[in-house]
Amino acid sequence: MCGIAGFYASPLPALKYPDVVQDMLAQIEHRGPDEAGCFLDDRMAMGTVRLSIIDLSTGSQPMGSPDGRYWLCYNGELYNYRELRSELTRLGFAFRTRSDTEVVLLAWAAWGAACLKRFNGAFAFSLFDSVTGELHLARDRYGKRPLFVARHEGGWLFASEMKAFLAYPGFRFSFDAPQLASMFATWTPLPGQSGFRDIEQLPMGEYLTIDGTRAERRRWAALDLVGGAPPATEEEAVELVRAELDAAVDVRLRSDVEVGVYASGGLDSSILAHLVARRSDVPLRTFSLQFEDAEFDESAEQNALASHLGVDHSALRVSDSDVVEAFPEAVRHAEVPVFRTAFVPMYLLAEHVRSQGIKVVLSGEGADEAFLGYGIFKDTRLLSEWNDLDDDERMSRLGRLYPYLGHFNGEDGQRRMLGLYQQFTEERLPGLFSHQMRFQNGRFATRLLKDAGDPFAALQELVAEESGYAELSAVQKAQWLEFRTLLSGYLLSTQGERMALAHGVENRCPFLDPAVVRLATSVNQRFGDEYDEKYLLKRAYADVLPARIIEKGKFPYRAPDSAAFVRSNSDYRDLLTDADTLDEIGVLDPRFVRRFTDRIFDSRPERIGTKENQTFVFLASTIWLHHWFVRGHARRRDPLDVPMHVVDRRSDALSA
Amino acid sequence: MEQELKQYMEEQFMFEFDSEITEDSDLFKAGVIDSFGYITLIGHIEQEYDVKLGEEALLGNVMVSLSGIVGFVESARSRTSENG
Repeated sequence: MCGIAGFYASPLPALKYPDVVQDMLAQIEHRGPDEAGCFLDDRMAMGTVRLSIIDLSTGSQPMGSPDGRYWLCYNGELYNYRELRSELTRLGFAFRTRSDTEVVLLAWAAWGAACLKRFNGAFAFSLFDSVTGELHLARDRYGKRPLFVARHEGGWLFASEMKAFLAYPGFRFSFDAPQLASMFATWTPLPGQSGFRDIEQLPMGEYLTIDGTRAERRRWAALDLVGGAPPATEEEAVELVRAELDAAVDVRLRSDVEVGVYASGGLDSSILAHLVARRSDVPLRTFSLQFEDAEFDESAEQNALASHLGVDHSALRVSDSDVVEAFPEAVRHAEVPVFRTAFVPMYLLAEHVRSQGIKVVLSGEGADEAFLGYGIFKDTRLLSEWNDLDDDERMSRLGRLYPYLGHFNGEDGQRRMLGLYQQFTEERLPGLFSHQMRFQNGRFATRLLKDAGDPFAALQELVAEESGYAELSAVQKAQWLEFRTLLSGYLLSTQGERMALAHGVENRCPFLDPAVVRLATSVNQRFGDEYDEKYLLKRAYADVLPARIIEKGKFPYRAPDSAAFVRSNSDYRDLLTDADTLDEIGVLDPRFVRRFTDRIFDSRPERIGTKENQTFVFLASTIWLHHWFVRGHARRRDPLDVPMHVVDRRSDALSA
Repeated sequence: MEQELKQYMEEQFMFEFDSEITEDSDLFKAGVIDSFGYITLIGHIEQEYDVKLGEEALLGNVMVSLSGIVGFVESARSRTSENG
């Protein structure tokens, strides 16, 4: 894994390019502590910090095409690089290394941007065409690897993580209030959002071409959820699921270093642990979290899995105070406001994994989105059929929605749910029917802001402009929203790759192989019981996993939220209500912030609901983001720890 | 009872009834109430005022505004006392 950073059409004198790009890379050195390199031209500068995983000796960057036309800074892994390499070799391209980086470079030389459609991988890269002077910035189809682009004084800055911009002379961070409102209400940044003014995320499945002073964004991969014709029988579907997951795991085990697995005790990661253990000559190493609080703990399932598969399992026990203590540093890596603390234990887990000598892990992200594992899909189905059902049927289905949530169950629980669900049977937010209940809860957090405007305007615009969205079924729309918001905006990023890469650990997600997602969309809701989530996945692996894992049902991964802060560190009351800080931030409403913070610290934890917990974590993370980015304390002053390999094509350098 | 319930709701949902959010406002539409809050509110009303909210009340959208709730609870109580 790697990090990239650079700038284009900068008004800075070219003389300063090497120092600036080196300083930007130093800010993200955690992403790639093994090597560093940069490419300098009169028009731009870019560089890479590299974590060596494939072709440790010769995969160095920046890499240029043999004719010197194309230059690449690449972050990620191309899982089908061997197949593409063979194809390019047949076309007459000669390779100097075994690395996937060279395959990306020559694929672009051969096919231009059309190469992207052939890629199965998790990547973000910058590619400079020295003949046309164009800079291309590209990102993978699901948003696995990050890429931020900032406008500053007529130039463009880009980097894997925004903190690199802290090293660019004169660049300052400031919060974007409408984006914060959208994030607070919908839980995550939307695909293009960063939370800060003048900084955009390149959306997943898109590439940006900058040519002189013009920039154009194009989409290379749409999210296709309609699916093809389903197999004729359930048996066939099960076989296909097994075959596609086998293939997805096989290509993700292509690595020159040992690969571990995050095994939470849930179904998805247990499937991965089983598939990898079966392919490994040495005992597979698996990793998980354990919590003091039994409400969040899954150690019984983890132990059952470990003994069943004979893997070498290592669990990290995380306490409330660990979460509170690591929170600021984890927010520094998250870089965006966050709605729950579950990313913090993942930060600690990555640290643990790296200390055990592991650089690559497989994890289960994407399974719930691809195979409709979340409760929101069942909710959506029920709500879209609500008006056709009688009260008894409604009650019976409500009872099957969330068997693990106490307040949903028992006669009283279901009866009360009836009144709640009734509120969401009409589409009040155009295009967002499936998510209205979630967003209703999200409205509360927007009260942190002085002026929240319409917090759903940005998301409504996004779906209104998406071609084909209106024709999707209610459940498919919910799935589209999950892929485009929570998956990419939080699970893959804040909770996934940002926490792993903070410690130089690369995560890979077999369930997000395009072929797996394509198959899932073809078989979803065609077989089995619609209220038994991930029915086919369970069927496919019931005979090889412990029964308690198959039968447990969906157990959401969570961690203690506001209660941990209240119990462990009362300084937070002062930190969150500091008048100078709130005044500097400007966009927060100090009166509400104070009243809300008092409420959290003065109430019994059981009186604090989900919306209050989320609001609390949004508030705390925003305060820390202000500290790290707006005030600039995330700026690292140390130079890179590794020597820089420089390719200098500036005219001064050539004449010297 | 109206005053007590009003105070409970203001404290629970952290807002004040005013000219924008009135006793007749649909508190869902106003963005004041959330799912956990709703379930807690229904539980509170049933326990505190000793009424049981039937499916008709829950589905009929009377339990979403202060005036709706007060009206329902008062008529339910008067029915109970008449019957008793």
